[in-house]
Amino acid sequence: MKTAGWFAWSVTAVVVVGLVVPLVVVVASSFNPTNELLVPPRGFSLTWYGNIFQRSVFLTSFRFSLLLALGATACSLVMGLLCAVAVVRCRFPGRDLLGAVLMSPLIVPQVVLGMSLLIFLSTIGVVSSLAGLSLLHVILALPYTARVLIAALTRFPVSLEDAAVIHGAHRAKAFTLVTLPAIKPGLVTAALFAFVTSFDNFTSSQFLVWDRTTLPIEIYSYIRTENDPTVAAISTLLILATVAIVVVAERLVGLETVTG
Amino acid sequence: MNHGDARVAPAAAGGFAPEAVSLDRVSVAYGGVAALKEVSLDVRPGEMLALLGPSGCGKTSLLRTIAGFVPHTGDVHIGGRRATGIPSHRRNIGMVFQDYALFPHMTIAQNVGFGLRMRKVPRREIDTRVEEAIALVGLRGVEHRLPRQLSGGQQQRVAVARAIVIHPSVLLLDEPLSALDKKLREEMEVELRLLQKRVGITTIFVTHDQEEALAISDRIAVMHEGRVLQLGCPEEIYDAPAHPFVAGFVGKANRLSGTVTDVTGDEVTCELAAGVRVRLATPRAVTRGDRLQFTVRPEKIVLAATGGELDNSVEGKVRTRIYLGMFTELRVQIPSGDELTVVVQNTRPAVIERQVAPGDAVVLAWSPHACRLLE
Ligand SMILES: Nc1ncnc2c1ncn2[C@@H]1O[C@H](COP(=O)(O)OP(=O)(O)OP(=O)(O)O)[C@@H](O)[C@H]1O
Ligand SMILES: [Mg+2]
Repeated sequence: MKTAGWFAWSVTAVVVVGLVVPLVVVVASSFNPTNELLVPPRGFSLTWYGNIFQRSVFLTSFRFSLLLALGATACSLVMGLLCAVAVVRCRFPGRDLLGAVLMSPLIVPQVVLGMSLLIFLSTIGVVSSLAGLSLLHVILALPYTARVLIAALTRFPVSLEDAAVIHGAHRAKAFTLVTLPAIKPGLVTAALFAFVTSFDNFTSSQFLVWDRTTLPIEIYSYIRTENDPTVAAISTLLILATVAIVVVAERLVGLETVTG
Repeated sequence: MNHGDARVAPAAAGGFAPEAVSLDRVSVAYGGVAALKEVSLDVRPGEMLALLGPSGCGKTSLLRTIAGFVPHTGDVHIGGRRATGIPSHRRNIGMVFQDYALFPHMTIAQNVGFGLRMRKVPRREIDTRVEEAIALVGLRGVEHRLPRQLSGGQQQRVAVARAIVIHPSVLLLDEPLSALDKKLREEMEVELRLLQKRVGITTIFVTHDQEEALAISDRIAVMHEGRVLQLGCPEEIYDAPAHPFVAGFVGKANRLSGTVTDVTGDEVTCELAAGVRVRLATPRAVTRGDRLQFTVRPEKIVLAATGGELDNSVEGKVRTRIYLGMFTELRVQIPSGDELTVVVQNTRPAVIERQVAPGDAVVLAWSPHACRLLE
């Protein structure tokens, strides 16, 4: 019993350390005054934060990534909601298949996904980062939004919507007036997943970069040539933003717990 | 009200209003499994009708059919109009769901006013009608709370207010009291009954609790395996069950069977096993030699010191005795081998009452009119 307890504790500790140490390393090294990635930092300086804003590539790629992530979030949210309604509410042949297809982007290697989209898009003559990456990011985000919303809708008692209908609301109106507000935590969670999935993606996005590029790809090409803590500073800002968004979302609506 | 004319008009008060709700050979199947089998049922304007039956017999399916939530065959009429084809949200039905189904993100006032907002009633009028409805169910002062801040009984009343505020043609209640404890449930039964009478809405009330059905309805429809077996007032259902299932499901019933040995007027003598003779009054013609099945309610049998004052008297031996406070339930074996349940009112305190104990010999007596012939 006691050994089992110790074992569980040590594993947990290793996991936590494994998760937190890289973050600490990144944050700490971003404050280095010298142009080296060193831990612990040799002092405290905001030089590299300033550097972010001097390099316009970071700002333009950040703006592009943000636009892409917002678009992908909106699209995958709507599509995920429609899929969730179909899977949870309707009985039709191929319902299980739909569920499996929805999850497939999680299983297919990203390299394969990026490559096949590249071939497909150039075959039909689409050579635009915006179009290609939008499609890719919606595909990548859809499994998450669908998954979370299926969970939320399954837990939502249909009698609530029926109550709205029988007391005079058209089914579609009942859905917007009663069902959507009730699954708001699920919607917010799904949106966060979708946003992060899109904003973070690197592997498959690389294949579809033509005229414009995303922040993760810009960061990667920067560290191939420069070796200063600018990227650590960017990462620190991203960590801060993520934490802030999650905290605010949790406070405002609460987040859906994704349990199987 | 911009689509008011498409709604089902409320049944005219008094006069020769058509049946408030009428089902004509309605069948419902879920993926090949029949839930309702050719159910025909007429509900009178202003009455409280209970749908009574065991779990899975199709009560909810029947309500949901009237609400227009399930595909079905056969015809449904509401207020004399063919409802088939009218979408649920235009049927002008008030419904209380088994789990209340209050909208969690709306306040009590918003919940109650929902149907009126959907009907585009002017705001002023909504406010007064919501206030009235909340007062009617005795919940003044909770208007601005959220449903989760109310107790189960209060939530149920909010659900009732939300359903009646729209002045529905029909009120459908799906086991609205099943989640409450016995005491609160009995209070709510009385309240619901008074409220229904006051507002005068035709109400269909689902329950699997026979006491609840007997207590608060004008008529009861007993359902079993997707069919309505008997429709009648509580007294009819209890005292004249037309079907063995009804006899067994509503109240307790002792079932006996025997052969007719003698017929005099409207009374027959029936011989059970081991020569036990029972006289029973029968409304239908029988002849000597017929096999009869009949029931006797436990409370219609008395323990007699000497036989004779009632026409039937049979000796027996007490097998078990259960003291239940208001009455004592005995199981008595008679010579034919049948075990009869007998309920004895505890009119005197147990310390004075002659205690009947298992093993005692007793005489059971009952009137021939207490026997109910089964088909
Ligand atoms: N959505 C459904 N899909 C398949 N079968 C169903 C569905 N709803 C009900 N049934 C079946 O139809 C039959 C009638 O169900 P219904 O819910 O009407 O019963 P009920 O009398 O309301 O029972 P209870 O007292 O348990 O609520 C049952 O056998 C049930 O299993
Ligand atoms: Mg039911």
